[in-house]
Amino acid sequence: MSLRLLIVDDSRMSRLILQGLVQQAHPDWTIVHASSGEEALQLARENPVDLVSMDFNMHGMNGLDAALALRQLLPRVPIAILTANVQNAVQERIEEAGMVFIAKPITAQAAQQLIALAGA
Amino acid sequence: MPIQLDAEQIDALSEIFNIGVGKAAAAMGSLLRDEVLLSVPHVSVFTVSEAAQQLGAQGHPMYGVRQPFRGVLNGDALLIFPGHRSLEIVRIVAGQNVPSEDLSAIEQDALTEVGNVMLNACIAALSDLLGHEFELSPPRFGMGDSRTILGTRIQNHLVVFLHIRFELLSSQIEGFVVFVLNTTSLEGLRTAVNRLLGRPVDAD
Repeated sequence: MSLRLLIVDDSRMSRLILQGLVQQAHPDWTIVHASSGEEALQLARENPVDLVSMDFNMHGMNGLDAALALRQLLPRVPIAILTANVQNAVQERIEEAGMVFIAKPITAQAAQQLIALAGA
Repeated sequence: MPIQLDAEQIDALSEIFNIGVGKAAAAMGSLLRDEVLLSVPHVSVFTVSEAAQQLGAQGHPMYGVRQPFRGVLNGDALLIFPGHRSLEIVRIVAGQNVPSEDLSAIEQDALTEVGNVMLNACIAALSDLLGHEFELSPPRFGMGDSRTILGTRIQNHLVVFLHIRFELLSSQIEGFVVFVLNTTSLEGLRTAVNRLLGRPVDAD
């Protein structure tokens, strides 16, 4: 099943690494990039997605606020917060909001955790 | 204001920093697929100018990622690399996922992300140990000499300066992890360390 994954991260390298790892497993997936929460919301309004990977510490809207806003638009879409901010309090806040916490660095294992959210 | 930390407080601070950087080294090792060797940590009270001298000769080019943090302690965490090895680091981090012709274009971005992963791991360990969450803004990349890397601080201001040298085993790339704590947060630092040592929190 071909899915559409939205990767939101202000680091282009992080987006490219995650894209590479996901496409190794699912070359048929469509992957769209956003470098901010605001851009992610715009993209999701234009073209709904099936799965979201969201950074946490970004300029402008932070990842959790962006994820909560995305959830309003796409209530059934799984959202993972993929972040280097691995403080326990941050992880708890993400999980309390119903998002999945995945710790950076971006590894094959982290990519698999993300892919699993789509049931793929 | 004179800055006084007793020997036990300095020892506790060194150990907190050591644990934090140990976590950071594990994150960095995973990102760079290499073993990270660490020196013993050093804790000193310096002027900004003296701190810059510790990092290297003025005029020597360096790349640095600065992660400001606010909470029970306020300051900056820094990851500092020698400038001439930067593309090598980018190549290791990006692996096969980024076309080689794009490596230069993402150099700053890649180094910032290395700093982001490493410094956040370190700050998370400090957060766990001290029992306080730190508020983080996105990391900032800088290049220049050590004074530039340390940011726009007044050169004769005193800071608590914690630094540790690291080396990647295979590539022998060296760098520093540095925490510069503002002395305005010194009381918070003393309280946090005293709590960790099991002392009354109002003891000095």
